[in-house]
Amino acid sequence: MRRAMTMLILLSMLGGCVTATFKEPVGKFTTAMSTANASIGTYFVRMNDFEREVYLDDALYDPTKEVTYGGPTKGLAPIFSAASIQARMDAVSLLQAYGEKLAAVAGSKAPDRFQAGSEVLGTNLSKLADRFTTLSTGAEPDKSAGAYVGPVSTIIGAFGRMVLEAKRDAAFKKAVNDAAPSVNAILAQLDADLTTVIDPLIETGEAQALFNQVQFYNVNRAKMTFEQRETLLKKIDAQTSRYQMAITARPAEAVDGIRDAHAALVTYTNSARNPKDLSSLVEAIETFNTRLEPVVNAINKLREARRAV
Amino acid sequence: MLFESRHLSAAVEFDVQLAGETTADTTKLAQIVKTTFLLAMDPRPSLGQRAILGSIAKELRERLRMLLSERFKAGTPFLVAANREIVTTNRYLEDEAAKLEKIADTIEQLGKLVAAVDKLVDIIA
Repeated sequence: MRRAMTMLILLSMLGGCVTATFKEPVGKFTTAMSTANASIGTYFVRMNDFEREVYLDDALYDPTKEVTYGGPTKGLAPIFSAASIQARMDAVSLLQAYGEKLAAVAGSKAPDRFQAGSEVLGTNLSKLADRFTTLSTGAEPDKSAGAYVGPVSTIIGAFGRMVLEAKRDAAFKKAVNDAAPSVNAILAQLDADLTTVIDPLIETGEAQALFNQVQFYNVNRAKMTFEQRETLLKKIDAQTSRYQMAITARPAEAVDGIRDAHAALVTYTNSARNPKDLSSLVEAIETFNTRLEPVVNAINKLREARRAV
Repeated sequence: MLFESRHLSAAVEFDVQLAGETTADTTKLAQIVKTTFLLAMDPRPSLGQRAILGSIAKELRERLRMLLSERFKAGTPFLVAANREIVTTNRYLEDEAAKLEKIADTIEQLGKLVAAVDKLVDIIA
């Protein structure tokens, strides 16, 4: 009996150790994904605004250009459909929510609560049984019966906790494996969007804005006052910085980082979850955070530069 | 002069090719647009030639924008389908978390109920 109890306690503790390892890496994964999603989302939400600004900038430096809304070239009208942008924003939010829900399951306190609740229930049942014995027979309750209640409650609590932990792990594993193909598909599409749509759009748009200012200055500089030249040259300076930042920034890097962190999570979930597996996962997430930092910095710089122009 | 006309003819040639192609290489086109804008700011062509290069670059960018818009739209259905799958997984995770909490709630409530009955018996007796 004692050996069985020891085994049970050891098993229970082992169960707790295994599931506890999920909590930290998933928490880090979620935080990292939330930061990355904010930066990726900014690119998509600003696509049409960016194009409108390029269009108006063109009109500013070219007096022959009429400003229109709609038509074949779209003019001021949005060029990228609202539904397409919304699908990207939804994808970004859903991935973030997915990380948060994984964290909620990984961090569920239900198994601990079950164990504590079982012990309380056992103690209370024992007290009630004693009271009924006294009330019905008038005799003192059998003290030896009470001695079994504590260990039995502990056994029920420990078993229950193990069952709940196993359920929690199974739910986590199923969710990670079921979602993996869709998460990969979303990341592949976001990567393609950022690399083949956003990047060329921003780089050529900033180049066009720079050309407009440079050409305007070169054509009109002789007719301009010193102050007008000074103002325009400052604008050209700021626009040059923006162009250079656009050609060096690689927004898809954030997606690469999420992909690596996600692949590490899938591998870890399906592994034996020993300390070596955990350290590989944490290492992958740390790498991701390092990769993400320049992307976030670049976005902040672009925002600052935009405000400065 | 040879320098600029070579790039100019490459840009125009690509522009002509676009009309007959359904799937254009937007990455190559974006590179040509950037190169043409850079040429339009290069001091070697005259100001007039730079203006022409700038107009060509803008025209090419206009076409690039249209192609990018179509490419962006084309990727949307795949994304919508994948989003649906994530919604399902998120619901599953919510349900599982709720089930686990419910089991723990039940056992806690049972403990409280037994304690309440004990107090009630105390009052009655």
